[in-house]
Amino acid sequence: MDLFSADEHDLIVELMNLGVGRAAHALSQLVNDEVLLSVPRLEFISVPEAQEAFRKDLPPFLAGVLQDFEGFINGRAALLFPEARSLELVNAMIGEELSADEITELEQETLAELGNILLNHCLATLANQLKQQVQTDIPRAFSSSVSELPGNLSLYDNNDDNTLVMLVQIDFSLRNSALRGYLAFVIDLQSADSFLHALREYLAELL
Amino acid sequence: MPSSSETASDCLASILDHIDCTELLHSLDGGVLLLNRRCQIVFCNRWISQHIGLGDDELIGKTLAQLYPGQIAPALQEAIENACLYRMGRILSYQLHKRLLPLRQRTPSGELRPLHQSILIRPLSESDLTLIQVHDITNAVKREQHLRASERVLRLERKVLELIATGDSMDDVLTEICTTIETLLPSVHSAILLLDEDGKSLSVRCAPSLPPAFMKREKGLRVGPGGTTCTQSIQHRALTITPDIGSDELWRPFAEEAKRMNIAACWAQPIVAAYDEVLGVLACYPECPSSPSDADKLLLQRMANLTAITLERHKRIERIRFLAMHDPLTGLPNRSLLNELLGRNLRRAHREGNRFALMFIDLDGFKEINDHHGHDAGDDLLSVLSGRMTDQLRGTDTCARIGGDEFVIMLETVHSPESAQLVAEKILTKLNSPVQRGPLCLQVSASIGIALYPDHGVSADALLTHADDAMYKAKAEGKNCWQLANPNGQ
Amino acid sequence: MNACFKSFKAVNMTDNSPLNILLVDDSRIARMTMKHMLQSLDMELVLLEAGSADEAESVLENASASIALIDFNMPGRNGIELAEALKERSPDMRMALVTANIQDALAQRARELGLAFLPKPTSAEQLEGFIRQGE
Repeated sequence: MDLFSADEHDLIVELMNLGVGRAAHALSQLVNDEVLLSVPRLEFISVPEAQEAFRKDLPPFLAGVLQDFEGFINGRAALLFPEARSLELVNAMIGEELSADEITELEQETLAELGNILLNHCLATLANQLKQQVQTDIPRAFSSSVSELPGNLSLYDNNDDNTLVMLVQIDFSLRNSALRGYLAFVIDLQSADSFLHALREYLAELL
Repeated sequence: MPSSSETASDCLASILDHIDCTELLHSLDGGVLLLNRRCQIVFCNRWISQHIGLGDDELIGKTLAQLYPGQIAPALQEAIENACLYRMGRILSYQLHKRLLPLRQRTPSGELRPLHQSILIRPLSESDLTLIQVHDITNAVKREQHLRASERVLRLERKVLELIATGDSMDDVLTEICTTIETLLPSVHSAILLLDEDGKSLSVRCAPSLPPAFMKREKGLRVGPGGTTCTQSIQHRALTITPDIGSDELWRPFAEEAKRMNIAACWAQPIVAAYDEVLGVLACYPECPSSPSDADKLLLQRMANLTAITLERHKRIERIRFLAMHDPLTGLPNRSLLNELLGRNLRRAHREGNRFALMFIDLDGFKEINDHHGHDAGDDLLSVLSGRMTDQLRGTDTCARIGGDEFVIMLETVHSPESAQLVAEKILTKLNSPVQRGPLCLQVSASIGIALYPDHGVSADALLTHADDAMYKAKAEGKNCWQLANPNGQ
Repeated sequence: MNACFKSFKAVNMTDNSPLNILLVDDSRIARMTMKHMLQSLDMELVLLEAGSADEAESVLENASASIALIDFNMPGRNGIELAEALKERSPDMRMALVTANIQDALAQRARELGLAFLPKPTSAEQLEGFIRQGE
């Protein structure tokens, strides 16, 4: 999708890197250990294309965290990774060696907070740097098969025509755990204009 | 025309319009706070005032930081500010924040306990307010701790069972059991004490984290009145607890020693096998005076069961090994054990320059006993005679049954041919003495051939052959006598 | 090292020759942002740019710089690795790691190498502070 120019795209990547950098800092404070987060790739695609990307890259069962946002852009953000590894991540966060066979209520909450910190930092950094405002709702942890994913991500019941997905690959590394997941920002296309506008203003000041 | 869902939502809206939401919030089993942009409380439900212990009037208008100066976790403070000022929603989970608000709750027994909680912070859209929900997750925490603990036990049990299944040595498995207990019960030492054959005393078999002095002290603890925790547990066949060794009368003689070993209490779980046979005691020695919790008791029970399985399996293997090497009728070593022992003794005699004797014994007239009085009588006779023979031997000598009425005696060392002959004489006398079996008096005699190492041969085969030949010579000489091998004669 | 910078400053003051600064960041936007801030300062600066560690080294084949502002997370060699290499070839060059990875562990590594640590997004004031430290 060529909605964004190369510079605009580059700017978003830079802002995402700032966001995950701050999230990593916040997480490292929380777990008292180094947390490495990096964003190897970012692209704008449609919900079905995003689903296809997950199908290719991720196992059939995913765990994740969803959080709605509104402000200069509106939509729903998600952190997604292989369900089997989500427990490993939670255990690495809380410093438990043994992982239970099944995710418990408490682990669900921990996972929700992990996603919450990450998504809040990304959205807040995006907004702050672009001199805009965004508001986020509370996060919720979920698990889903890849095929059911659009149901979780869609802003409007199964009508994805008005949405655009900003799909960000993200690499985590914490203690002895390393895994790749995705951040998916499902953006209401009606708000994409104000996003674009904010990006252009930022760039105009640089050039 | 409105769709049915629209009608339903209209309907719900009108119902909600008529409900007093405040009452709804007060009735919730969890905390609800509404904060304004300046983080001040504008509403709190009944749960909050109860758990904070202040009335509405004392809470409204205050920030949480004012209510609890210096006591609010920085992460919570930051999250509240980010929500009230910058409208960022947040969850603070229990696992990552062990202490959020200093809330306490009264347990059924009346004590105040810290309340485990997680907090949701939600900026309300279409208003400046921020909703804070406090969840009491004490029960979830308990469930989780339970789950984790039982999973650890399962994992360790599986490991122990694997060790048992792969035939690891009994001592390795027992050590693993002790280590397992010590992993699950920190600052507890554990030991396994086994009941001796006679069932009258206990000795330590395994105590990986206790000093060697402990192994010694517990050697041969007599089971009987006046015993300490472990021996009592054998007598009662039940978990026996001494919560504080220092104040226990029966432990007084060992109190100093216990202090040196840093053990302050003793919990003894008897190890009971099938058919209620007590095999020993699984003992735990906490470093501080204490009694086991219900979960600890369960753990001891399970570990004692594993120990019982391990011990029984060991016994069974020993039994199988014994059966493979012994004659079932007389309990004497069989031909294969004789070969093994003979080989061992040959190497030793060669190494140490010893002389030893092999006697080949064949009963005279045994077939007639069998024919006239039946096999049962013959079997009984063999049992009695084997007993008589072993009675004449030293512990290090061997008497083996290698055929129907054929025996081999190996005298581990002999100084001269004469001393072997002396033993042969005694054996002859013992074998030709009558055996009373009910009204019957059974009597046989024996022919014995003697071969000496190294005089008559230096290999097992040569010695056995020469002894056998000498035995035939004794038969030819009129039975009930012995003959010395004479390899070069004939 | 301080003495060296004092003499550099003296030369700088007398000649009023501009200060050469090398910017290394794989993101063009990040370099532009930094350039934008540096240009807003009341200082005479010559800015050199590189998009990777390799490129930085080849830029320094033909030009010299007394200060390098280096991003940490770049494809190929990262900022720390580049800084180690630059330290070898020009021990007097002052360097700062400018990065979105703002964790103590990385800051610690940077300091051990004698690098300044500037968290992204940097402000013009922070950059000026670092540049003027050498004066």
